[in-house]
Amino acid sequence: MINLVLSVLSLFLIFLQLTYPSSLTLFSVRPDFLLIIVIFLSLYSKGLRSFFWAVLLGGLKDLVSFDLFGLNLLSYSLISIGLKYLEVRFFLKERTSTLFLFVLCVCFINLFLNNMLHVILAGRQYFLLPVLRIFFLGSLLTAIWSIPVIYILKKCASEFFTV
Amino acid sequence: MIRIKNLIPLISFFFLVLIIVSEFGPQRIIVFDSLKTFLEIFTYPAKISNLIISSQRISAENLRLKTENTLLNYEVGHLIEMKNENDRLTGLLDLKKSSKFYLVAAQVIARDPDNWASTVIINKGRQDKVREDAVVIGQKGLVGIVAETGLTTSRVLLVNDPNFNSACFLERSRVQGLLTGSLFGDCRLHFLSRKDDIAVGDTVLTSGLTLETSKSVFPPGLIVGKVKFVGEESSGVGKYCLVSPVEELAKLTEVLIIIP
Repeated sequence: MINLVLSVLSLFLIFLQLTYPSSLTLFSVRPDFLLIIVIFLSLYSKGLRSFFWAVLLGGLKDLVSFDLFGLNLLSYSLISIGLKYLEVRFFLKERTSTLFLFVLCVCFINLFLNNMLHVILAGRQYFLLPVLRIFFLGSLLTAIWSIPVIYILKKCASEFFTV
Repeated sequence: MIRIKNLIPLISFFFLVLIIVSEFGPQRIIVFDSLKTFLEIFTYPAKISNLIISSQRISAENLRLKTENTLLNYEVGHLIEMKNENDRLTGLLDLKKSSKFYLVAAQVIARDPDNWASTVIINKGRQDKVREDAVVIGQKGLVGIVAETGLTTSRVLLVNDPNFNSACFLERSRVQGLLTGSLFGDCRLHFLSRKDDIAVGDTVLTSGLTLETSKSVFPPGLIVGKVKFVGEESSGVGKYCLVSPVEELAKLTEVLIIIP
């Protein structure tokens, strides 16, 4: 059941990611909806479910993006493993502000990781200012969107997770 | 708690992914062929909301366009006369006629999900004679080139993408340079000499020269943008300038593809 809910939600969010209206962007920077699902699952799901979904969602995002295949897959998987390994959930309180700051930090790390993979694996060269803009604005926008998305996810699937 | 020894298969998995799927890139556009209808449906709410928000602006623009249309009709009449005269004289000189282009209109149905690339998906593909490296223009000037083509969809690499390259020149001083994208709204014109005459507000046009790295042939004289800032390269050898594209790339909804 939870896999079905996540599949439907993931498909909806990937469509939203592809058709995200320009009026809702922050200086042309768009949020990363799929990362919110990865963070949520890494915090609240059991076993290797979060890793499986990180691979799936990263692969799905890579499938529709122009960049080298596997970059999102790798960064999502690393984020998922990192969060699971550190067991951050126990340090997080059930407060929106804490969750917001947490998503902000994780998103920043993911963007940094993604940028490094772009530079190392795809051989890309970026100018510093646009990269910093993506880091800060991308993290902020994803953190803002994470509040309603995580709320919906919690409401939909509370009985399936070890919250 | 994940143990260190459990990470070994995961690390192996990462390397496996890298090795197997790094060659998967070129075929990915076919995903959009099957998603085309859904993506078109998904963009409707945004289109309708934009229409409601900008209705006042549209009526003012309509009035301006009507005036402009009257002026253009007058100019077209004048140009037809000139063309007839040119045809007559060309015929007399027995010159070879230059090849003609035709345009295919397309709608933007999706954007790149990543912030690291600046591409859009359009609803025209090989079925509509769209080929890779075809030049894409908007109402005001250059938009980008076709990077990948599916049967019914294509991916357009916008001028502000870091992978975009085009030989360009400044209209006023005829100074030539290489235009590249920089992820955000602006592009950069590189390889300019320190002595070159460049001023803020200069118009940047495509020069029509073909680059070794690109198969695209940009028709000469396409407007790319205006110079926004002139600075010195970090190496200190020459100058560069920031070019603000004439097209609003973030709000792109319709484009034209030049089919040779």
